Amino acid sequence: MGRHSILDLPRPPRPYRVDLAPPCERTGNRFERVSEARAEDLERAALIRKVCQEEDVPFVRVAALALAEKLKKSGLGTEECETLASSVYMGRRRLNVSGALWKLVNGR
Amino acid sequence: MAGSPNTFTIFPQNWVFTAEQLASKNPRRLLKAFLSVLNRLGLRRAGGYLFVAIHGEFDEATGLFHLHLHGVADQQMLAIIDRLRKLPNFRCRRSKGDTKLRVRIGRKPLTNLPYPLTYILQSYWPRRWRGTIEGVTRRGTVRHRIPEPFHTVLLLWLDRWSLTDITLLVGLSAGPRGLERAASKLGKAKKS
Repeated sequence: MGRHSILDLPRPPRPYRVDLAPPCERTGNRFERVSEARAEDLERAALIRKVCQEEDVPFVRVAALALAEKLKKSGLGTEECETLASSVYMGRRRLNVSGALWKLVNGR
Repeated sequence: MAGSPNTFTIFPQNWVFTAEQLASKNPRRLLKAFLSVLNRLGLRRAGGYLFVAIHGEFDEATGLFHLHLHGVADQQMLAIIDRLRKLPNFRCRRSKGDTKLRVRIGRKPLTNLPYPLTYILQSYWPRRWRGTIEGVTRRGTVRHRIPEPFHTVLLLWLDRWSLTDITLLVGLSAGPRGLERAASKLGKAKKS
């Protein structure tokens, strides 16, 4: 049996689903929706492509454009990507990690 | 510090990097060094559990990324975290412009759950204003998007790593059954 990690955390049971929790009483904030995360990925892709048009950039242009393509597909919902650079991917992981922490903290 | 688990934030002094420096930083090594410090403070004898994740923000005025840790721990581990304050890398130095503590531990019971916990692992790294007002260094509370090309530099750096590279679990195991406290009495750190 392979060794498990944080990547194996499942979607939490319903009482610990942070995306279903009511807004924060103090700030009114709530957990980001998938649609918002997708919009963020599209924005990130667009900004990367725009900065790649500049003459002098402090990164490898080919790598940046490849990342932009990944983020664009993630933003359109056509292809899932597993990168910490993606708001959609991190939203999924945050859902599982935060829910697991919530259950842990409640269980003491 | 009797009571429930709580959240904390740690700003190591030597976790401030230019974009060029960030590109060469390995988050696993940063966490390994942090764990070594905790071990020297008695982590292995403490028992309990701790979960931390690397996060950061950008200061446009200086072009520097300020990396830090958000985490949650039970009271046994929080006592170890508290000892960090005495170390030079974690000491608040007002003469150097520090206005807030570099080791901030929640003292009141956690409320508004789950939101304090969703703050630990974040998908967005902001730009925050940092400057001097009437001779005192201040850090803005409003989060803005990091300007280009620095945001692309950051995203490319993040793209190189996995969730297991930016998180550290101590006294916990993670798997299909969720997060479980380690059976051993000794605080055993696991690659998350």
